[in-house]
Amino acid sequence: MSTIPSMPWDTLLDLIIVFSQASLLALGGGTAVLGEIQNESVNEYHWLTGAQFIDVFAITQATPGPSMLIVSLIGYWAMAQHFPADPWLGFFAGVLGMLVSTTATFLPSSLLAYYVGRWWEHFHGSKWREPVEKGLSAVTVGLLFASAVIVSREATNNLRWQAWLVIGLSAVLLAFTKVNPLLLMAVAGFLGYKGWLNAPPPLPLHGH
Amino acid sequence: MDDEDPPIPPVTLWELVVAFTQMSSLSFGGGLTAWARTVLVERRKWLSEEQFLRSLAIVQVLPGPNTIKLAVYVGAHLRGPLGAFASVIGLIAMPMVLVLVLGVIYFHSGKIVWLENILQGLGVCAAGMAFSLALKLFVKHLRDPLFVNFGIISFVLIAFVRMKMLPTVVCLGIISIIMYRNRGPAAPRTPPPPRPPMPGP
Repeated sequence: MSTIPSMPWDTLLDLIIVFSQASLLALGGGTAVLGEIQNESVNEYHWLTGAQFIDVFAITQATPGPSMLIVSLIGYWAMAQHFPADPWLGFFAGVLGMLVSTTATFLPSSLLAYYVGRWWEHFHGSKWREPVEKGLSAVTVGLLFASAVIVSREATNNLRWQAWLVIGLSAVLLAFTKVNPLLLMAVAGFLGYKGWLNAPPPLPLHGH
Repeated sequence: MDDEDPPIPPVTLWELVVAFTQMSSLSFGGGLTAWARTVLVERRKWLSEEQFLRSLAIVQVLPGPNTIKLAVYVGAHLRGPLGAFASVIGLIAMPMVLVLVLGVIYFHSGKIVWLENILQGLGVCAAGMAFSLALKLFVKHLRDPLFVNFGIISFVLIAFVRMKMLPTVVCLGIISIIMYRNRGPAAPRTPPPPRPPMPGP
């Protein structure tokens, strides 16, 4: 898949398959499949590089709205890349990829919420209700940790070990205090801006 | 559905779009669910507190992005299928445009060192956010050995063995549900009932 450049239509189809499947596997929310999305879009389909994945992840986390909108940007770039010579064509292809990816991600789980949600209400007193809820959330917590580890590995690639300190601190602060996430993002963005998280270059470069 | 639920308030489709746009624009840096509660329960009084919590609980059992499912569920409750559609559009239209603008700038601007540095910092923080979700859920169930064991098994299989997600989730999910079913409705986290007052001497 990496060596043969596929046609734009093939990419569109792949986006639909990958994201609709991810949507239906996202137990307990989108973050549970973040690791899976990273693996498919970076390692399997090469829609974007690992560093780009983290950058678009950062962009969608820092903006308001559902964090699953990361798929919109992955879809955009997966399609826009097919037309490096023509930026306008690339833009329109990208918007198409964005709309298709977003729909593929949100439609299956929306249909499920619409139909199964109403049906599930009737299980109010059922003996299966608690086992299903608890059993699924036990698997979910593992998926959440797995996504966090996979994303952190990618996010700290080429950074100093101090980046792991920032990850640990923001995780603990966000989980156990009422700190405003925007404040943490601002601090982390500032640390990044100052270059304090960057690993020193392997060789001193002159005339940079 | 409970009989004592209040009647469904008259809500237009446009009001749904506006309300969900409102909550998604307020959710800078996350916390959309909390904003959904503020807007739907406190400000607009479309749902009672219990209805909101019940919707959230139902929605969280199903797979997919939580806020989208909540929009579908609440929109459908208030205005049927079109209401569900209007709510989702309200929730994602504005953020999608914003994300598109930022994405176009990012992808087409080439290498800008200071921007990349900022994004690296934000990415590290966002990874911490992902951990915080996992931590919160884990700590809540720390005293439930079944929960801890299944959490660890699914974590190791996905993060380190790098098993395919579909078969892993289906198999583990079924086993875990059956084991919880067999254990019965044990409630390890609830404190023992208070003792009846001692009879006087």
